[in-house]
Amino acid sequence: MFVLLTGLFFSFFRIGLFGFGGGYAMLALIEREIVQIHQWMSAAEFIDIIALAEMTPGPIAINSATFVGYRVAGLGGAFLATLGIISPSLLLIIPATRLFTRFYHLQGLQNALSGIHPAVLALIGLAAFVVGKSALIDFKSTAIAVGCLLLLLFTRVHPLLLIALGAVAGLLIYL
Amino acid sequence: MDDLLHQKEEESQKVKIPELFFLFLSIGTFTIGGGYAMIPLIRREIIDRKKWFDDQDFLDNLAIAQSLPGPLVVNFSLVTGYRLRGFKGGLFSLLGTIIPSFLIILGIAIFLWQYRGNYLVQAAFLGIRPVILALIVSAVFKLGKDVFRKYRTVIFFAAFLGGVIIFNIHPIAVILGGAALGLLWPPGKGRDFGRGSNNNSGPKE
Repeated sequence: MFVLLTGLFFSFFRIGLFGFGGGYAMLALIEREIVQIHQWMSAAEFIDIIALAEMTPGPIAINSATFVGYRVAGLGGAFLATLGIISPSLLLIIPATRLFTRFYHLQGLQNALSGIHPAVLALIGLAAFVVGKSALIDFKSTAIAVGCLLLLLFTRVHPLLLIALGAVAGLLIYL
Repeated sequence: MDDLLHQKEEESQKVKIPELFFLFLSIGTFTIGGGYAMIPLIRREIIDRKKWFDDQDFLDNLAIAQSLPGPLVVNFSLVTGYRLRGFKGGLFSLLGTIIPSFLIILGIAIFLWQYRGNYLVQAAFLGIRPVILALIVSAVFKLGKDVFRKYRTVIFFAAFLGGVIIFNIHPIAVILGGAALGLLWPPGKGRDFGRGSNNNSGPKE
């Protein structure tokens, strides 16, 4: 149990430390640690957790950490995974805030960031690829995905409404 | 009496810690859709209602939060709280942001997740998964507005995406590689889509 708990803490610490670009970009890191390396849960269960993190309030990264931690090692796991993912921020942000406001306009830093941004987007693309492998099981699910993408890009439809409609569609199609 | 008055005066000038905590607590409780959905709400509270920051400060705070690793809103609440009330302010803003999320998820994990094997729930999730896929892909397009505007960063993006999917390159290596590529091939040499083909003017992406 002790090994499991420290493993969880350091896995999520790594995710927090290298998770640039917010929750979606972190999903690729979480998937690698949780599903591929430690095999704490299956790819399908991981996607359902993303769905849950989307449906509940709060940052997606925190939701995922708490949930994965609880599934793997109970209450202690939930606490340590959450603590793990916020610890790098706690250690870095305050000293960095002082330095950053001073050096933000340095060209070197701006150049590096301009390369990091596409890398972050590619990681979100990877998360989409991973989710797509389990989400697109037939023509109908592909049609749902394409339709929702168009709605999300070109209308102001609320994501929660789409998730609710997705659930209804799932019941109608797959039951 | 005099002391009390003086104290009140001082307090009104300072942002109070409980005020920070409960502001982020309420945003953390009622905002669905992750970090980027929370930012406009925080903006409305902090700039429009409480007038703690102006737009420029707010954008600087956001830039700091986005440029460092970690969940966006976690970083953002830390920066905001720290700049208003020092370390304690940062800590309590952070706690306000994550406590609702932690408790709600824990409740679901303990009481509701057991019904996941139910055939109704299974069928519903088969319909939800493609929606989640669409949400993630739409995030790429929305966040990528600037990145997809230049040849240089589009090439970076395509190379990184191929690298992580085909060659299974570690995400951390991609981030570090992005920083290295950004320094080796700095912006300004890239061309803008839809503008003159030799537009070398803007150093900013």
